[in-house]
Amino acid sequence: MNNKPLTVLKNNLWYENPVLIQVLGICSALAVTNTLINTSIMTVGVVFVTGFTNLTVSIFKNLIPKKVRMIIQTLFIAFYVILVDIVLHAFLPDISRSLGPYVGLIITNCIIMGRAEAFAGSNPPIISWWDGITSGAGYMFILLIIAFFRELLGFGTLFGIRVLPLNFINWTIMLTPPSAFFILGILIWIFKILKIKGEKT
Amino acid sequence: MRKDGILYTVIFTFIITLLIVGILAFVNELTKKTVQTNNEIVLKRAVLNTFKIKYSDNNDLLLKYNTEIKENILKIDNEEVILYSTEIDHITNYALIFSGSGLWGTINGVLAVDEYLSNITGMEIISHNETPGLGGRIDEPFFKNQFTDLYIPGNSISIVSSGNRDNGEIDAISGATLTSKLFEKIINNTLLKLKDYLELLDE
Repeated sequence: MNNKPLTVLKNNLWYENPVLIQVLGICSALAVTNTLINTSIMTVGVVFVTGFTNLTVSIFKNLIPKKVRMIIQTLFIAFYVILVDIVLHAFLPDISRSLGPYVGLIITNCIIMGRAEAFAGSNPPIISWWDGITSGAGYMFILLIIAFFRELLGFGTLFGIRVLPLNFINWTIMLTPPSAFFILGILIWIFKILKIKGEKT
Repeated sequence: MRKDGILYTVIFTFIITLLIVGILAFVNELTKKTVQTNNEIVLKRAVLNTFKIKYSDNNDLLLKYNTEIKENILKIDNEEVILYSTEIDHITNYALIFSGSGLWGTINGVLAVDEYLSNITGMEIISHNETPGLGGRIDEPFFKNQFTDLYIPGNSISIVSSGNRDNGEIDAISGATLTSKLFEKIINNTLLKLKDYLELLDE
């Protein structure tokens, strides 16, 4: 596979997008996308954790014993996630309270383990870090799209600022995970159509 | 030492775990003070809110708290309970932290009443784990404001679908029946506790 930085960027943002194409990280895509501010903080956390986990796994890749490979990777992921959690608790306590348990659940996000296994285990550190960052970015922009619709139609606000008129009746379904599920399905559909069109030309 | 031998695996895992836990413990220590201050501010903000005391920023918050709030420490069953009090229009108001079971987890908050237990002065939520957008709306102004200056005949409230405020009834959250019911219980239990503690205070 061509591992130049630009190729990695294009693949992780578009051609092999972790959420729409590889269908990873779905659980958090459904859970945290109810507001844009929650989604922003959460996805920045995922970008950070994926990038640095990939970096760490790549640096240690020749030292990690094969039998406990996944356990050690999980240790690294947990390390970075707890770091993010501690920093949020200390410096952004209100956001930490509204994100609640979801920050800790970043550990279970399949994208991170997936990239560690598929890329970091067999590539040099810097490009692995870049792969992690761009995978996180691919996840981030999809989640921001979902959150945009969920917050707009569910609360009438964007980033907490009132956008729709006050007499707009909120779509309560947008406040619950099933709405994210449907929006995600529609996004995958649109994405595939655009991809097919792109390949035809 | 063979790389895929048991000895290497154990030593490697041990050292990595030691390193990781060490670094995390260190970072945790560094931020402990900040986290504690944050928690204190959340608590003090909640107490001030239930007493309808306004403040402009965190420094003003601490100033108002130190000048206007009194912490009365009661000994109940070998545990210390803090009853917060302040004077509003020459009447003493008391506030208590409550902690009860919601639908998904513990709901923590503060409830303030006047010394005659005839009105609830205010209610504030500190933390909860209810469903965002449904039960979680107990933390929204429209719900909390119903408790401000609420007349409570019979020393209890009811959370119903269309409440009559003169009767100590407030509106539930549509779509959050269970959280509303559980929250009603929590508030009424807190009112009973306040009744007991106020009597203790008078002795």
